[in-house]
Amino acid sequence: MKTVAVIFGSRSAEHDISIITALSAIIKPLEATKQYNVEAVYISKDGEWFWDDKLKDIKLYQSGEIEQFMKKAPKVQLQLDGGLTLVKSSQFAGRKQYKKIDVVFPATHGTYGEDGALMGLLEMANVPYVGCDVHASAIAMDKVTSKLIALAAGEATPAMVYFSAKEYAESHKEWHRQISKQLSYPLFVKPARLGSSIGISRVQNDNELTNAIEVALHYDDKVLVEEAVANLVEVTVPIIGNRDSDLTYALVEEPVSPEDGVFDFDTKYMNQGKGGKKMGGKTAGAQGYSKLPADISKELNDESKRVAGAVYRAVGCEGIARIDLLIDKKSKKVYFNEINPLPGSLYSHNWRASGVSNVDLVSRLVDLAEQRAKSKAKLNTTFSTNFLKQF
Amino acid sequence: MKTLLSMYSLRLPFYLVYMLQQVEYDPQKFLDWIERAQKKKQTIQSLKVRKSLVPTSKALALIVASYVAAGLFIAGALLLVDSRLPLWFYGLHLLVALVAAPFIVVLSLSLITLVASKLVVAPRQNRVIAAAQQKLAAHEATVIAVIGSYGKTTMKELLHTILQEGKNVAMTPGNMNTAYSQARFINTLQGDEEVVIIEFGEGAPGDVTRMSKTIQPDYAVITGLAPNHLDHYPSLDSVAIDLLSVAKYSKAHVYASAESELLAKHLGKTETFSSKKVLGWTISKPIVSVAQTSFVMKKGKKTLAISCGLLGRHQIAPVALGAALADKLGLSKAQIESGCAKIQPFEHRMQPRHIGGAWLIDDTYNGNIEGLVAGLKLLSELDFKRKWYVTPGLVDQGSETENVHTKLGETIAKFPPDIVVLMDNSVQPIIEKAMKKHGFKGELRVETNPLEFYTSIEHQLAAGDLVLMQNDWTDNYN
Repeated sequence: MKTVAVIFGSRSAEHDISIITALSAIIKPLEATKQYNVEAVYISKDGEWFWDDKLKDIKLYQSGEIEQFMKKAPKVQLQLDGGLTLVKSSQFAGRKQYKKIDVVFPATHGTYGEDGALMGLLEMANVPYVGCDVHASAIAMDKVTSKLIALAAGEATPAMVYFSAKEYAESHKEWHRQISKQLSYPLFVKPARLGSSIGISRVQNDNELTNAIEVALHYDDKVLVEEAVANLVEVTVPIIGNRDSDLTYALVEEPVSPEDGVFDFDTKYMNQGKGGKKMGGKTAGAQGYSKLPADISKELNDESKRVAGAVYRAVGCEGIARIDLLIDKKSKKVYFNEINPLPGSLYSHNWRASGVSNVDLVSRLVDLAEQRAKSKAKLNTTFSTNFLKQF
Repeated sequence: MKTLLSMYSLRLPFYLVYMLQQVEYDPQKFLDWIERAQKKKQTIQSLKVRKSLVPTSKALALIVASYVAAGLFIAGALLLVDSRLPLWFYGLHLLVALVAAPFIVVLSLSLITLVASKLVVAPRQNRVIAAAQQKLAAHEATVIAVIGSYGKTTMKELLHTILQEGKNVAMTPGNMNTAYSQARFINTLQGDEEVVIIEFGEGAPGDVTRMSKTIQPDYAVITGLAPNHLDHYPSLDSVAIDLLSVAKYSKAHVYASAESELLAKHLGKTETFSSKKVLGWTISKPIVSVAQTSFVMKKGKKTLAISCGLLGRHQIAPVALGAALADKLGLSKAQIESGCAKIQPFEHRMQPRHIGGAWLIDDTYNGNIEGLVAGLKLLSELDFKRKWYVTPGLVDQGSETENVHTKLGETIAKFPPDIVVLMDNSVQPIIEKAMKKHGFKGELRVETNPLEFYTSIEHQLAAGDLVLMQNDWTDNYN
């Protein structure tokens, strides 16, 4: 039986969301397959690593007992031995416990996990892992870079201006002038590399713009200002597949926009979908604010999938990702908005509605991880020279 | 040996009293369970899986009594030792007493429950039953008895739902269907009820006869016959005789299901009801879906368009009988149709649930072969991408165990689902053998941990899936 390590938590604003993704959408279905031995690896908010079966129980986190657990439990060491082996003290006669990992299933959202950092470590360890690789993850986490790649691939994105904290500090008047010249209100101001809609504002005038940029710079040193799409329908398309395989699409899903047009963290995760229920959403929980499938024509549905697939390919996503799109209902134009390389809870509610069970989803993702590792293993990464002999 | 060793626990009385609660304080069933556990090499602690000990005064008294019995036994064993004997002899006696203590606990619990049921419980129950008999004899309500090996609760509930559209109706609550629980219910009647529905349970020979004599119903509905409780009834024929004794020992109009294969040969001139004909009504245009069942009833110039939330063709006959009885008791067409529309699936009985795009039909309270066959027919009739069938098989089938599970395996092969999930238990090999013999080509999974499977099944399902779960074994059968 193969051993799959599910890594979750981490130093991220989305630390708690990651716990839910790991426990409910990954570990339980993986165990239900009876094909894998599943190891839970938790990274605390301070960046300490733990590995224990007790970490599979949601009550540990809900009750706050995790703090006590972390005080007593041994920390994990990673042994990079041509693959990845978890090591920890057995707390008995100085002996250590070892667990060779066959596949890693990252369940981390946001910084130090979804942004490519964890994937870099896994690449170095030479262990197969689920999901986007270092490059695609890093690109996906940067809203500006991903939009530039989408534009280069011939897909539309809303008109935008972007700058760093340093550039803005040096000449904020010039940036305001650029924004007034190139863009029309209403605008969205976003930290370039943060997920879960944290720090995003919708602004109608110059005063609001200044405040919104300050808020965004509080979270990130790179800021994106872009035009709001008129007659907006926002949709999202979950996709699975590798570079060398066909893509599988879930249903095109339509989040129902709140009155202010912004999904903040609370709307998404804390209100149990209350906002959505008021607006007619049917599903409870984090996805309770969406229409599934989206209430759009077949033509727009097909175009959404085409754009999503094109961006997925252009960015080099593998395993799983969710592509967010903006549609102008009148002009029927579909704009690329952003990529989420590890959708919360894998968007399993949507996959189930598309006919893919949680068990099938995680099994296919582990298979895709192994297929990618096999393809990579065929590539040469060394080159023999007599360079050293010259010294 | 594993079971015996596990009994050396200070918490033993808690586990044993839990077991007694699960078998309704029947000392014979309690001892049978311990014997089964011993054969299956289970620890006493591992038998408590699905439920917990309910700390009633009766349970707590038994726990205290068993500790006292064990303590007295050990103390008595030491007192019996002659004081002139050496100290090591005391030690030996103490050791023997400690080794025997768990057996004393089991023995004392068995004896206490046995003696209490004969000397205290039975006389008290007889007094309550006699009072109920007098009260019901003076009551003017129409009394309907619901009898049968299966389908009683559904029949009772649907009659109640339809009739209360136009009548003041009372019925026995839950699955309270013993003579004593019936009597307690009757003693709570207000006196202004127009219809009283009473479920008759059959657990041992003569049960239905005694209830018929006591209750004297005006109408009796016999829902079907199945080889249940054959651990107490000597044969299936004796169950049939008991069920039909209501006609002999009361003046009731008796209506028996014509769709119960096993009952058919015992019916003689008994009036029957089916999904085609009920009390002079003809039934047509049946439509079955995962959410409802509908049909039309006609009798002379009267027409009833019936639609209800119960699932499956096998539900047509009982619902139609409910409608026909309502007509007989004076309810209007609108009242009957409205009453039928209000019938919803009862908990764990063909109860559909929507889980993330998939449908799951919970029929885990179904414990008879005819119900299982009806479920498989329904599964084959519904149009879904992938169909699952989940069952641990049936219990209490006595000498019919092999036949019943062979029939189940045959039926699975005849109406083949895509995936069949059986539980790793004593009847699984019989079902599997019959499935294979009759050419089942789908996927078969055998689960070793039923509870884990039931609690994680949602992860296996997606849109286009339909799962039918039939029957569930309580702890004392695993």
